[in-house]
Amino acid sequence: MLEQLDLTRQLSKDEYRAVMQPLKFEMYEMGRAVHDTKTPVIVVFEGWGTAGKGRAITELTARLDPRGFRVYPINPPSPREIRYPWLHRFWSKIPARGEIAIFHGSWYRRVLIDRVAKNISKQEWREAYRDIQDFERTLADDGIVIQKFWLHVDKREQKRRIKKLLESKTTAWRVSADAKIESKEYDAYTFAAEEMFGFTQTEFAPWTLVSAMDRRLMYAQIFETLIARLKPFVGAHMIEMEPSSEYDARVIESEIEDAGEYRSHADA
Amino acid sequence: MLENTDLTQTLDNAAYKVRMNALQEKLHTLCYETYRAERPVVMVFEGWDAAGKGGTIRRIAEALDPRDYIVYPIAAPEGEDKTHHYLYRFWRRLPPTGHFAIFDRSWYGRVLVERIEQFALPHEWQRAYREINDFERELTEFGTIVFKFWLHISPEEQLKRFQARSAVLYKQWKLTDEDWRNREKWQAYHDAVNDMLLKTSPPNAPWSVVPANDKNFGRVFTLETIVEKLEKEIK
Repeated sequence: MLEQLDLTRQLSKDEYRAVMQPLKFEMYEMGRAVHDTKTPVIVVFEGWGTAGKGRAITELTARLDPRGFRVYPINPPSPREIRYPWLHRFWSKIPARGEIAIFHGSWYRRVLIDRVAKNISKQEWREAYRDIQDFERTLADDGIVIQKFWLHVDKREQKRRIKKLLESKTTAWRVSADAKIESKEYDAYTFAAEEMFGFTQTEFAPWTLVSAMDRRLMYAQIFETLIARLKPFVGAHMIEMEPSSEYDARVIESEIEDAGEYRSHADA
Repeated sequence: MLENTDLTQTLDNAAYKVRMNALQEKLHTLCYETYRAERPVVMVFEGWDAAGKGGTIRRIAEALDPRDYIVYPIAAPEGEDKTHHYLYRFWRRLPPTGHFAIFDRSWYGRVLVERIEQFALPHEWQRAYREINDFERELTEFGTIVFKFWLHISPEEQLKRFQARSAVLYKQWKLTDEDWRNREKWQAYHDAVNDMLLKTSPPNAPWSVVPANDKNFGRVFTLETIVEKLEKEIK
């Protein structure tokens, strides 16, 4: 699936402004409608270290009411977490009705980094596929709307970003141990990711592959996808999208300006 | 399946005392061995009202180290449990490795009371069998030892116990109007229980139907089942 991504496409500042302004208004409305309709939502961000999962979440949550969402960073399981079946720490984070749960990393660790780094046995990651399919289907049956994003950068770009980040003390901390393994095992990781798309691409929990080579394009695609995904469930409860105040319009304008300032952390 | 349970079996008090003591001693030791083996244990108690869930759980709890177990009484969900998927409540209450969690009623409410009282729609409780099997498979894949007991009594025995409960002051708290209402739906529950036993008895997490018309017999039967399986799993 990844080879189908156009990694050369970019959005100019003007194109970005034109696309993003209405999407930003709409996202705010969407968040409210999710609350009003008591729709539970899960948004998963997976992808290469340095692809910009954190930035994407920042951009997204800037348009949501802070009472309506929770962001969960997913790290290797803690000593306490490994004392429970592996999905326990995700079940305990599922959204209440009307809440958006945003996962920075997710249960897919198990079939990606844990598999590639051999943190678990082959049998364990194989069983994990079945567990994941059951998990997502069970949640979707209950009315949880699931959207999964894979943020993609190519091998060269990832290496470049990591190298650049490591050059300065102020950015070196951003490069996690996981990101280093991914980078070193880029091909094995890609293989695992491709297999993962194959096994877990479902109608009720779709993956959307997004090129993260260009920040502006990435944000726009994430907003577009999420709005299109949620609209059938909450669209009827959204009101006409207009900036609710002059202030709101100014905030959005400055966000759009900021997003145009740089292409990635590495270039910040 | 329920109709095949032999409810005439009994155990006299003298024999009960001897056997219960021996079983509790064994269970006491097994509790520490489970802790050392780092295996979590989940016990589910379901059964007719007044079948003796509470009394049986007490006999088990007596034998366990108080630091190693939690008993969860499960009634209608409240708060966070209510605003989430029904299994969320139980995922949150799972025992960590080396610990016991005892559920006095459980996730099987989905296919029993929720089915009969129509709190769950037909397609919701029908898919619950699969969801529950998936859930329990994830527990046992991890190494959790799962027990599921259906405490079975006859309607006549239940009536006797209800009457005794309303007559004896210190037992009155155990009897509510709801118990009488449920009793009128005996046949509906009977069918739901049979469906449940049939659809949720995979080898990794089978049901044990406990003949509980005689309290002594039911309790010894339950503890024997527990001791036997724990010995097999841990050694």
